[in-house]
Amino acid sequence: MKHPEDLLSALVDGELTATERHAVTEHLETCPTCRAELTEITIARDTVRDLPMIDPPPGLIPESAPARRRLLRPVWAWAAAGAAALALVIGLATGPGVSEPEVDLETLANRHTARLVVQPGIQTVRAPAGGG
Amino acid sequence: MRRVLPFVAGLAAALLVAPAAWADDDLADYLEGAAAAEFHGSGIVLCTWDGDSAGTTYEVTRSGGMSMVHGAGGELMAAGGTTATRSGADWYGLEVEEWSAWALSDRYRLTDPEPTTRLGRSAVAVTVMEGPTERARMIIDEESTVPLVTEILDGEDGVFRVAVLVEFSPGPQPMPSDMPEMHEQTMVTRGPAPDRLGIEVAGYRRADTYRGEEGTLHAFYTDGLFSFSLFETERTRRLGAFEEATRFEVGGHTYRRIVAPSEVWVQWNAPDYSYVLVGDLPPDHIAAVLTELPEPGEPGFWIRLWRRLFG
Repeated sequence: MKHPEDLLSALVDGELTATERHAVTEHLETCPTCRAELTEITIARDTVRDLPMIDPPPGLIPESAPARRRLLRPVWAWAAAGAAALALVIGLATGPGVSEPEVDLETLANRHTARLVVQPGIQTVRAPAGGG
Repeated sequence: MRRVLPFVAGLAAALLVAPAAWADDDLADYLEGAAAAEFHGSGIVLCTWDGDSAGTTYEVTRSGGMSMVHGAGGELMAAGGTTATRSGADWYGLEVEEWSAWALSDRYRLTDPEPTTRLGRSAVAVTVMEGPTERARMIIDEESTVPLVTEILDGEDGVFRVAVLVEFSPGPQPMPSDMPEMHEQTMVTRGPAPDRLGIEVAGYRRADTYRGEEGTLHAFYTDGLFSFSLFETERTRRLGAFEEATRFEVGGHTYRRIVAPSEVWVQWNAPDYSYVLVGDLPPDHIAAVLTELPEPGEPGFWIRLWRRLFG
């Protein structure tokens, strides 16, 4: 089999048929070049996945620019204040609060792995957490 | 501390195709032998579940009671009950104080081993049966009983996870004489389990329960072949990595999942607590487990408002 460059990404993405997967994994057993390339693909993929989400600066997106302030008539001001209060109550009841703990996969993964490795199982060899 | 189709074989088909079963003891012997084996190897592990997939390569060395695993996801060392993971130049340790004895469920049976060769070594090919269903196929190194190829099946004849060693050297290996110096080490201690978490869930036994930081409850379930951890925390809608996770349904309820090479993560919020499940069990087992755990749901509007205002 020639170097299956095009199939390595598909292998990691789970897009190969059983026959293709078998052929590629068999080739990987004897080809250090392709194994190295596969490692680079997985590292690159993990790196991209781990990039943080960044909010755009104000004004970059027109819709996010501050709206021009307008003077409101008192009746509209009261209505707006009431709506704001209602939104606050609904937000308090439905939105995530800053005091709520955030799910932290890394901590949980380490705790799971620490308990898992002390016993036998179907996968006695385990890749470190975060490889996906 | 620093900062993933129902398949019902007909009885007639099962009687026709199910290979002769071995006693559980043979599978247990293979698994225990593999867990104690000394070797160095490198391999690939891939996991696919309904279009979600993940894969990675890794290197593993086991000798003198110590394991070292290096992969794209990081580095890990384990010895006894202590596991160390590296972040940058620093190692962070977790020490599990106590754990229950391992036991293999009697729902699994091993087929007669068929002689074969793999990586130029004598090996045997076996299938792990769960009733009439093929659950796993393995090619096992005859001398060390280390699985050189492992395919976990999804209960519908599809491959859920495949782990292949592409290099394998059995026997004692050069290893560090001790664990690395830890930047920080945390002791994992046992704690009581609430009644809402069953002692047995879809064939998985709750082996141990631990108390984590900030009141997190960690229940570890295993059937001896597969295992999962269930983390119960204060209810939260700050889902971190689960915000963009794939949603899927079990029993009319929606859950979020992240597929990682060696395990799958599932998250959901019940009315009173948030849950994260992580484990190496296949999708049909996950579905069965989820139906026996606290269901997803929301507390009432006023309860949520009260909790937010007054805790």
